[in-house]
Amino acid sequence: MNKKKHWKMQLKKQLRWYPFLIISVAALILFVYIPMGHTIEYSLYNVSIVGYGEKFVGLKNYRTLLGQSQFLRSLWNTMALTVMGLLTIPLGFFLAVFINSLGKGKTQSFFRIGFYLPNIITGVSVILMFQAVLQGDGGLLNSFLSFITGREISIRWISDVRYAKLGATILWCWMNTGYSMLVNLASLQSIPSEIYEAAVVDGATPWKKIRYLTIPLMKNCFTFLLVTGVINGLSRFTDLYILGTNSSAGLPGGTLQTILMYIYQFSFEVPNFGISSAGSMILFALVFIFTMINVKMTGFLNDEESN
Amino acid sequence: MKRKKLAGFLLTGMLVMGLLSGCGSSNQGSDAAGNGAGADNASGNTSVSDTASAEEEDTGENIPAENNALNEDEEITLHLFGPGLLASQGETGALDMITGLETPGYEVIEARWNELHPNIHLEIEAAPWDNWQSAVQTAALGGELDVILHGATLTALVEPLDGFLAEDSEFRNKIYTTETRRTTDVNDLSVATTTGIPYTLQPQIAYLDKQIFDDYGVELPDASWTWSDMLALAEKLTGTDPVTGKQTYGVQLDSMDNANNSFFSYQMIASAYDAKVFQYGKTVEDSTVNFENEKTEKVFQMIQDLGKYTSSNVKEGMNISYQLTADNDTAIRYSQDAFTHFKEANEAGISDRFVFLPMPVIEEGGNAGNPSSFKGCNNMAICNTSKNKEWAWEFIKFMVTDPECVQWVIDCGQVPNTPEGMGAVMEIMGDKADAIVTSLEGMPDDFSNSTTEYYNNISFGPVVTSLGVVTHDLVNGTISPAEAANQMQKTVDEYLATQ
Repeated sequence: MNKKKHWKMQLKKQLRWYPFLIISVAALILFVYIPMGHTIEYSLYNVSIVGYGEKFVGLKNYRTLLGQSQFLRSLWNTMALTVMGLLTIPLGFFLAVFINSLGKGKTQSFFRIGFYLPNIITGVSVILMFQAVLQGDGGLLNSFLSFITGREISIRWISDVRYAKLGATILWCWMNTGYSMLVNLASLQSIPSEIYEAAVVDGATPWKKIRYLTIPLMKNCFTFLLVTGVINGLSRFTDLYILGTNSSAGLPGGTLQTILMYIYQFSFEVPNFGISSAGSMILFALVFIFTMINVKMTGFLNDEESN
Repeated sequence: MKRKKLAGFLLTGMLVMGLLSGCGSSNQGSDAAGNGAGADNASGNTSVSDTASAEEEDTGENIPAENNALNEDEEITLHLFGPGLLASQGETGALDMITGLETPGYEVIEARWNELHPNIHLEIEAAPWDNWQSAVQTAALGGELDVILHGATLTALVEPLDGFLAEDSEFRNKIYTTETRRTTDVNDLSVATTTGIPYTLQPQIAYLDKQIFDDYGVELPDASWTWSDMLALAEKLTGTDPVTGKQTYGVQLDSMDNANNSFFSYQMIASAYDAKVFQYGKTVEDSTVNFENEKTEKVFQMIQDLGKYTSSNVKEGMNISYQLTADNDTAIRYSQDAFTHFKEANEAGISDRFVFLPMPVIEEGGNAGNPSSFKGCNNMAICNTSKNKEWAWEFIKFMVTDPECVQWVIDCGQVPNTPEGMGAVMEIMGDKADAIVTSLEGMPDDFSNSTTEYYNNISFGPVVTSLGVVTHDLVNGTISPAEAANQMQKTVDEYLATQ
């Protein structure tokens, strides 16, 4: 009885704060979970215009997608571009090591800001600028490569199916390496200097310090960048949409069509919300599974809990 | 303390109620449409337009057209929504930052309408082209939409207009053409149903640079030229200009910087070779689609061959200019908006340098001898859930034929859909307008860019984007015509398997 009374008292005490939570919870339910529920619902229906006659088709949309070469190709493109996009992590790490080695001061600040700058430029401007960089005829990258190799190079980085993914990755890395560098640098600077000093006393070379101290101590940082990098990569859209002449077709040759572009195509260009909702659920499942695998493999949550 | 708690609860309750009531109002619209759809399903194959009619019967608002005399005294607001010329001009007008040309806004239309029908108010919401189809769908679900700007393609949302046209033959005689679609939303696929009325027409016109032709000593073709002639000319005119020493290109294929529009070349060449792909039955299932035929491969071959004589910008789909400028480096261009291009060239004092020709002639089939078929336009359609369909029809007629509206269209650099309006364009363009007139007069009656025997972007899946992909790949030489045909066939087959 006493326990019950105590529990009631506790509840009464806590109830005071619940009204403040309700707003957030209601907003979350209304604007996130209900739409998500509708997406799950639509994925089981044949619906071209919402509200104009939906027909229940069960799992047919999922079966259709998994048997459709265009969807499977977009799945493969998404995976490949995501993996290639993870190049920002080692690039960011090496940049951070380089900048950290400059010591605290104006030089470090200059490089830190300089490399982070692409992140604060509007994405669309960057993409339009990179069209000029990656252009086959007279593009800046080709001009640079021609200059250093001494022969004429005219690779069509974003219009040739053989190079398009590489061209898109160059753009992605330029846009995102600064962020990766900043996170790496913050993590790097949080490692106590005593550890390095002890290693130097033990005769560790600079490479050994990175290999056996820095990298293991930055595991959480890498995990964070890996998880966010994979999530961002799987939902890549804007840059590829603009590069592909403002179309979800994934030019050239559909090599740059990601799952999100496929979903967009069936949402807005050839409206079939059943198909696009099923695609969205597959994308959600992919992001969820990848995140869980990453978290499990790296023990990210365990570490957090033990801390 | 108690008061504080009470106040907290009350404030939270108000906020939550506010949020819920906001959602509630939008749900009402959805429910209305949804209920209608439910009735559709129950009755089997009733179309959406039938649903709308059924809803109106329920509410007693469905007035038969013949009895529905327009009542000028009643206060009505017509709601217009969609993209197109009204959106690009805006309410107060537009200024071209490059040419400096100023063009009037749709306030001109509003003022004229208000003058004629003071009690019938207009509420125009002009939307940009981005995601316009879904934007219109959302607006239609709101339940108050009357006129859909550029709605002819949104067949599930629009009212068939053949009945209106039949009752108004005088109006039909005043205009060049209507917008038709073959779709099960409004009829069976074998029938072309009128779903919209264009208020501007944008035929494809070729612009030939006389200076480049002269420099190379090549004779200009006449209006009877073929696609093979264009290819042969493009080959001769690609290289280093013998007079200026500058690089020149033979041809610029239209809309290569927009994958969703790069089917334009295919559409025209297919009509020229009569390369039929779609054979329409009553339904999608009854219809056959065959891209893998000799004629279609010939079309793809022509696209690929023309691609050899285009600039790298065209191949890559970037930095493409459509303007006719003094530093033009392409012998043959083709695109829509011939009137606008004329105005730009005229403003720059170089209009004499360019010859305007209709597109190459159709070589086979019933329309042989006419320019290759293409019909770009800005159109208007009546929303099938509109409660003011008669007034919506009246507005469309007004927009297409009223002298002030026609003048507004001309002032915006567009070609109006009336021979009378075309007369005014001819006065401005002189003999350069002949190409436009020939193109408009040679257009088959029920021709539509969207649903022809060569192309369909409504009922057979992502044909438009796939055609964009193969066109780019053909121009870049990364696939063969046979592979392109196979890819298109696969796109349609896979889509049909989902139905």
